[in-house]
Formats: sequence, structure tokens, C-alpha cells
Amino acid sequence: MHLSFSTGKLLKYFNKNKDNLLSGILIFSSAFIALLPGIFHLINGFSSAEFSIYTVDEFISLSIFSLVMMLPSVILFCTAYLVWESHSFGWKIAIGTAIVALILSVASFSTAYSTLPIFALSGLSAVLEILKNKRNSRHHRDSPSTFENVIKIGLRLSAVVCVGVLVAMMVFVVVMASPFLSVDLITHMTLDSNQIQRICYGLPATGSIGGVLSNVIGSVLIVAFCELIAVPIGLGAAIYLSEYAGQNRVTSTIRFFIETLAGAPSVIIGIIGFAMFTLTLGWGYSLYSGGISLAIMALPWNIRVAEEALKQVPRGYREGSFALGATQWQTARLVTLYAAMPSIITGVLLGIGVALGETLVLQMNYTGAWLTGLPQNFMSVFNINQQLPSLTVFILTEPGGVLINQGHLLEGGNNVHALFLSYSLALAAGTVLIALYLILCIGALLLRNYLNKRMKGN
Amino acid sequence: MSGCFFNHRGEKIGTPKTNRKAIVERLVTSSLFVCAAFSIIFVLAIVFYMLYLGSPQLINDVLHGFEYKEAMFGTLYVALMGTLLAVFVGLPCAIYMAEFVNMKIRNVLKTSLEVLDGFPSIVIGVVGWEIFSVPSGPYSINVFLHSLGLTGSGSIFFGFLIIAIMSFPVIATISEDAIRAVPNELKEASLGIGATKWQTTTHVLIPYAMSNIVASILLALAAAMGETVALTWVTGRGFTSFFWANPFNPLQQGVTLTLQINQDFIGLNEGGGAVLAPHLYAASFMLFVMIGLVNISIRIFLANRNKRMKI
Repeated sequence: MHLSFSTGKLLKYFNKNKDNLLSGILIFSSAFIALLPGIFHLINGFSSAEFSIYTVDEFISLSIFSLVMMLPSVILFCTAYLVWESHSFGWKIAIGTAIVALILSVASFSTAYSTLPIFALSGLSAVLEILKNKRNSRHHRDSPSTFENVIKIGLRLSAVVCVGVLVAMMVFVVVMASPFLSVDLITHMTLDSNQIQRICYGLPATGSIGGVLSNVIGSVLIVAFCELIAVPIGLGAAIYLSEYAGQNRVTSTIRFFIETLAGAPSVIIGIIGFAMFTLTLGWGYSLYSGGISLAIMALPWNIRVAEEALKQVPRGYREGSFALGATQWQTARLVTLYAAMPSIITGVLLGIGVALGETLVLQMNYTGAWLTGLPQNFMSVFNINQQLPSLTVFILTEPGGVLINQGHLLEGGNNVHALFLSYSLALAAGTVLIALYLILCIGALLLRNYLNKRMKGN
Repeated sequence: MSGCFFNHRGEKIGTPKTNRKAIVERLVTSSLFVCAAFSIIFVLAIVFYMLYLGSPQLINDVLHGFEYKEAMFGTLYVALMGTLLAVFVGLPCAIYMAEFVNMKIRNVLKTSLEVLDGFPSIVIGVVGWEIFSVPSGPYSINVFLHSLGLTGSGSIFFGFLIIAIMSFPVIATISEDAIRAVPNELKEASLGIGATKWQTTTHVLIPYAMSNIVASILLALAAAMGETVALTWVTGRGFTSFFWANPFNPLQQGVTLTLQINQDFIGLNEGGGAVLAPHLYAASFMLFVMIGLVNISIRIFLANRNKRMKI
């Protein structure tokens, strides 16, 4: 919006749209009223007695939700602008706002102090606009640039939401996990339940809380085993589909089955893996049943990534190779695969990140009980019927709550708050998981840039 | 495909002349075909196991009505509404990235969307649970939720929000690629006759890229139907007896098919009893069929669209 705040210009602007002044002001004031619930929410939160107990996390959640409650007023400010510029969309949105405000005020009386005035003001301005449109019935043409400005605000908002969700989630996880965050998490093998209880009840810890390193090792082991199976098969399938296969019925059937496998949710793969490997083949909860189930899950990803990378290789590379007398396999191995390698490595690394976050397959085939540590003799991780810990299943089993329930609740402590804090332990493990995932993502992107540059240099 | 070349007599180029090379070539071709056929084996094994173990329950279901009809309804309802919400965030974001910003901001947005796409769903689940459904948590959101008439023990509505967060990156990234793939001449022609950017977007770019946009939405829908861990703590743990009085009320508790399967599996597994219970595999089969139908509809839709565009 090209508004500059000098008095003369402002007067000129009001003069230009004098007919719309009243209805514009009505909508404008309703936009201000729409800010009220968020502001009251913020003030109430700060002045409440509970607020002094809970600290930074409380402040963040309070401000985020107050901001979310203020969001509808953005729509109303845009509407005011549209009405001022006498764009026909203005009164349409005003009617919509009035209806929504009426429904909200009927649905919840506690917010009616703001929704009822909004209903009245925007409804009145819509009626005024409609009456005015009827009075001067000459053909009215909307200015496209007015609408364009409003659309741009909306698009920008959606982009802010996209990045904001990611940032807010990561900040939320780290802040909530803060009572348990320390370097010990990745240097100690197992957790100390006594120290965790002390922290939950607000007492100073007398020692290290321990860590989740054994879970991290278990997760890394199974993902490595899974990718050892999934990457060669996926790469072979991708080379076949992009270099060898003709456009016939067999190829389209294979593609259909790959798409079906990609759509199979983890709960189905987990439960079938449980029936096939864990019970029928008698492998129990082990690296093998979990790893093969996870490999089935990761296979379509690897195929898709590798095939897209191979398709990006220019046709001329292959033609040149054939012209030199190379066979199909030599071309695929020495030219096409080599040229596509940066993208393939990036895709596989991202796939490892996704496989690290897989939960249900591991719960059904790999980690039956969450408190299992690594076996005494490390080589026995390769035995069948050997349960191993994993990070995601650890998070899934609500570890803090379990630890609290194992001990008795302390007398005179704030039990509700302790139970609530105890769940932060899950998010502390989640922080480790996110850190692993982000390292893989960023590493993959940096590696792609580096390899692309190197290949161009040669 | 792109790797195959033929000469004027229709013979394949790259066929080896010597005997030894021909053997290597044949071995490699067949082993690559086996790699590609692995997914067929896996899918067939999955379907066979589900039918083999679940057939008693499936026959019973067909004769006497489905056991998990509430959960099936929940899956469809949560996935559809969540994807609908995701479209309202994802599609504008795709348009913004493709048309309204420079390359630098676009790369930042695209990277963050890709990171969010593969984000561990268990972490999203725990975050959702901390925000929405911790019983009597000290957090201010609970005060807000109570003013809306929601209790702190989870509801289907929160499932919509979680599914929306999970699926808008898919919609945004694929749609952005589709909008970017529109030929530049069409766009320039539209801008040249005086259309604004937004008019160009709605009248030229989106109609041209429509097939891929719809495909991305269906893809997100199929992924949403299979989502489990992110919803574990959010939608509540079961149905009330008066569920069918008003099934579309999003403020009540409910479960999806995936949650029901997982819950029953854990219950049976802890008891050490009949873990090969037929109803689990029957329910898995129903879920598999539902997701398969969405996948097939994507295929048919894209094939029809491509045929029409060529004519």
C-alpha cells in the first residue's frame, strides 16, 4: 500500500474517497476491536498468579497464541482498505465477517464482548456500501491494483506461516526441553531416574541426569542396516527404469507397484513385518526384522530420488558415450551414474534423515520395551531376538511420565506441574533427533553444492 | 525411455559385439530388472499376508457390517479436512514462491519447506500433545481452549491442524514446481496484453498447472490417511457412545484407522496373546485399499489430463 503519512496527502486521500469515509471508519474500528481478545489474553496471562511460577516457555506460548488471536484483524484492515478504495470485494468480505462474528458470538459467550461489536460495525458498513452502490447505479469498475495489494499481503502471510511453523516448532521443542538439555544427553548411555524426578519437582540435581546415547546408537545402527539394503536395490531399480526399460506394460506395472509401496503407511509395513519376520521367520525383535521392514519403507524414496537424478542428465552425455562405442552398461555406469551422483547422494542423505524419524516400524520390530540398553557384548547386536533401543520409540513411550509413575509422587510438591515437566524428557530426546536430522539435511545440501561445483570445474 | 537409443533399422544401440561383453550385459540387465521387481514382490507379500491373516474377519465384516466403521470415518474426515486446511496455506505459498519473490527468498522458503517435509513426525506429535491435550497443563492455551468449549483431552479438530502442518509442505513444493514449469511465452503473452500478476496467475498459470496441483493434493491426502504417530496424542483415545448422533462434530474425541490398529496392536502385544489377531490385518487391508484407491485415482486423473492436453 502506497500510503505516506503527510497531512496534505492524507487529506487528499480522504477527499478522493469521501463517499466511503463512514463505512471505511466503521470497518477500521472493528479491526481495532478484533485486536482486543489477543491483548486481553496477553494482559490476563501476565497478571495471573500462576505466571510467576512458569518462566520462559510460558512467555513464548503466551505471546504466540496472543499473536494468533490477533490475526483475524489483518483481514479486517485489508477490508477497510478495499472499502476505502470502493472495491466491490470490500462489502462482500464485510458481510462474511459479520456472519462469522455472529456465529462466534453465539458459539462462545466469553468472546462476545469483541465479536458482537465487530458484527454490528461490519454489518452496518456492508449495508451502507450496498445502499450506496444501488444509489449510484452507474457501471463501476474495480481498480486491479487495489486488489493486487491485498493479495500480496495474503500471499506474504502464507509464506510467513510456512517458515514460522518450522521455526516456532523448533523453538518450542528446545525451550520446553530446556530443563533436561545438557551435553550429558549424548555422552551418557542411560538415564538416571532419581535425578529426573528431582528436576521435575524443582529440586537442584545432585548429579548428571544421564543420557540417551544408547538410543542414538540403536537408531543409527538400524538406519545403517536399512540403507545397506535399500540403497543398492533402489539404485538398481532406478537405473533399470530410466536407462533400460522400454515404454511397455511391464514397466508401467512396475511403476504402479512402486507407487503403491510408497503409499503404504508405516503402520501397515510395521504390522506385516511383525507377522513375516518377527513371528513367522522367528527373528524376534532384532536388527534383521526391523532393518528389512524399514528397508521396504525406504525403498520407494531411494528409487524416486535416483530416477529423478538420472533423468536430469542431458541426453547428449549418453549419445556421446554411445558414439564412442560403449555398451549400455558402460554408459550407465561410467557416464550417467557419475553425472547424477551429486543429486543421488543428496537424496539418499535426506532419505536417511526421514528414516531416522520412523517410529512404528521400529516399535513393532526392533524396540519392544523402551528401557532396554545396549547389550553388554556389543557384537551381540547382530544376534536374532536381540532387542535394541531406539530414539523414536523412546520418545513415543512418554519416558518422563513412566519414570515419575515408577517412583511415588513427592509429598507436598506440585504434582501436576511435575507430571507436566516430566514430559519434557521426551522433547529433550526429540531435540537430539531434530539435531541429527538437521545435520543430515544441511550436510546433504552443502555436499550437493560442493560436488556440483567440483564437477563443473573438471 | 531416456536411456534407450535405436538406429534407423530399429536395432538397439549399445548392444555389445563381443561374446564376453554380451554375457555381462545380459547378467546386468536381468539383475537390474530383479531390483526393479523387488517392489512388486514386497507389495504382493504385504497383500497376501493381510488377506491370509485377516480373511476370517474380512468375511465377517462383509456379512455383518464393518467393525471399524467409526475409525474408517475418522480417517476420511481427519485426512480430508486436514488436507483442505493445508491447501489454504500451501497453495498461496506455492504461488508466492513461484511468481512474487526473487530467487534468494524463494530458496529460503523452499529449503525450509523441504526440511519441514521430512521432519520427524513423532516430534510434531509430541509438540501437538504438549500444546493441545496435556490434561490440566499450566499453559495459557488451555484457558483459550476452555473458552471455546474444548476440553484438554484432545479432539478431532486438533487432528485437522496436525495433518495440515504435516501436509502443506508436500502441496507447496510440488505445486511450486508445477507453476514454475508453465512455458514462459504464455505468461509473457498474458502480461503483455495488460493483465496484472494476479490475473495472470489465476487465469493462465493455475489452469495450466492444475493437473499437477490436484495430484499434489491427492498425494498429500494419501499420506495424511496413513499418518499415525503425529496423531497419537492429539485426537483423543476413542469414541463416545453417542458418536453417530453427530459424526461431523469436530469437537468430540475420535480415532483414525491407523491409531486404532496401533492401539490394538500394543494392547494385544502387552498381553502376550493373539498378536496375529485377524481384525488387525483386516483393518490394515481396509486402510491399504483406501490409500490404494487414492493412488489409482491420481494415475487415472493424470493420464486423462495428459491425453487431453496433447489433443
